[in-house]
Amino acid sequence: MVSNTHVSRAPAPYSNPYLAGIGLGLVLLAAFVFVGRGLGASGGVSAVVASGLHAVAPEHAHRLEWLSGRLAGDASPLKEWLVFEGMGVVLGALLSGLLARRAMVVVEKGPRVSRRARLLMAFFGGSLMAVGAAFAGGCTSGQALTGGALLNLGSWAFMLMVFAGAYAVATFVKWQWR
Amino acid sequence: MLQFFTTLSTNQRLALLAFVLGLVAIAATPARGGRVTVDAREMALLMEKGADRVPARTLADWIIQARSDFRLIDLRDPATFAAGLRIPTAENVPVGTLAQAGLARDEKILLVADDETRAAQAWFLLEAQGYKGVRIVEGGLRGWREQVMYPRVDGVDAAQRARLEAISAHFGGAPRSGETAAASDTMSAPAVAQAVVPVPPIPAAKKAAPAKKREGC
Amino acid sequence: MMAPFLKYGVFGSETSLVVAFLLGIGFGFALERAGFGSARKLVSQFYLDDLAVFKVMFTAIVTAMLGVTYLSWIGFLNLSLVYLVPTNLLPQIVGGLVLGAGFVIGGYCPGTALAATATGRVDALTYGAGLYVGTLLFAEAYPLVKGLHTATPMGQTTIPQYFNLPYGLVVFAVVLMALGGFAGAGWVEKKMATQRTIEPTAS
Repeated sequence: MVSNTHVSRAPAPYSNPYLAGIGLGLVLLAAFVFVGRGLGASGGVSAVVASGLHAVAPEHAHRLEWLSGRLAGDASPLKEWLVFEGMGVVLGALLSGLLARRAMVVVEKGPRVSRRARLLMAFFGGSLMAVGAAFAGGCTSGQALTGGALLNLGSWAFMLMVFAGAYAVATFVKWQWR
Repeated sequence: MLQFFTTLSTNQRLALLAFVLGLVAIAATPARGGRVTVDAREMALLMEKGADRVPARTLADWIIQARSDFRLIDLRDPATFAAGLRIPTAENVPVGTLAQAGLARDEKILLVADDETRAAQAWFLLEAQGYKGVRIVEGGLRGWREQVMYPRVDGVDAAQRARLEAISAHFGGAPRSGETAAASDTMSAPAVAQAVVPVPPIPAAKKAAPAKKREGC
Repeated sequence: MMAPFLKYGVFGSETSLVVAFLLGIGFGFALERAGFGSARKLVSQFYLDDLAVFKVMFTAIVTAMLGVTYLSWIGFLNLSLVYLVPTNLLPQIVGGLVLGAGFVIGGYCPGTALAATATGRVDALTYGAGLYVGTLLFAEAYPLVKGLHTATPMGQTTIPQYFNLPYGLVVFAVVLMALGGFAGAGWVEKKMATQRTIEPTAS
């Protein structure tokens, strides 16, 4: 994708972070005004896991205390606010990426790491993050962003800890990025 | 002043705007929790229409049908709840912890306590905070005993009698007719309570599923 | 008072799913515009050479916070009807640390991974697979960790409530903090840039 030298085909630079932030904040505000809740992402993952497990081993899924709440009632766990929001995120991001010519099949990594190692690290980081989000009852969207704007005590504590955890580990995985 | 503003970059203007908005916001007092406004007319209307309550027998039907579109909240303190008569599927939420119980404002919430007074107080608290579907169970637990578990069947026709028998049997009670009621005809609550303390376990399949978790990341 | 619209019955819960999809489009669009669809951009944050993530995040928080404050001040938005995730301080601190570590290792967070997958990032795909596996592991191991997960419950608590401060004052403090943070971020970025030009071998 880098070989394409035609000027107009080069990816557009990212927006001014403050303007992008205002855009993001207004979307969040719209969520508060329309449905009385913020944005989220990790809850959608739990919903998908719950429905997947329910399809494979329904009895086992109901026995799992942490997921069973999502399986209550008659409706599918996928008929859930965050799942629909997630589908919107995919479409919105694709739209923006195409408009700015930033949509391309690529592995994001530093120069010193193999693709395979990077993909494995992404997998490991993802599973670690799922556990963290489960403990905290939300991820960067649902807790830090949403709770931050609502001055939620736990969300602010969570947010500070996310930065603390990331900066503490950053030096040990620098080989992956720099 | 205007000239000064035009010399600023976009980012600086935004920062200035945020600062001014933040400064003015010091005076802001967004209503949350503690202080509430009450729409007295709307509330009175709900009471008048009887939309604030649900008969004990209707609740019994719902539980038998294993309906899961409502939450039954038992407002008594945990010790009493643990020791005494419980309505199947009831969750124990003392009044003081209602705010933390994760009740949604658009779900059907049924309140029950020993009698109607405590449930009515909680009903008012929740209604005032914008909960839409709150009802109290008519007669409270006393009503549950008299209407559902040990209903009087004197003077009712055979079909109705069979229905009442089926309902009370489901909840481990028995109907009272003239002869069985004679012993405690005055319907003294303690005597009845004594008789019903052992709560029969409900079959697992009949247990209504807890309300689906709707919010949270 | 008429907002939140869903809670005041302006539309039903079925329609709210459509609203969720539309809001998601806006969310995804904003994330990608900000550069959150790129792991390198996201983690630059933690190596201090590009603090865009911090800027976007706190601008969004300040924008939404001011919006919520003013809309509820004029009586349009009933703030008590906006869902607040209950605070459980200890698990949130532990979860935050674990999530932060996972962030710099994995390169994304759940929301940004969706945006990155949509724009073709293969590593975001394996990151997403990790998310599912991690969630499943947590669910399976829940009896072991339930104690920590439910520790120190404090209910729905805001900073103004907990510290007994006026709501507006905390809002102003957050605005000041963010503005200070933005100025600091600009300074750090400049400093890192000059460092790189002095030692070109470092890259």
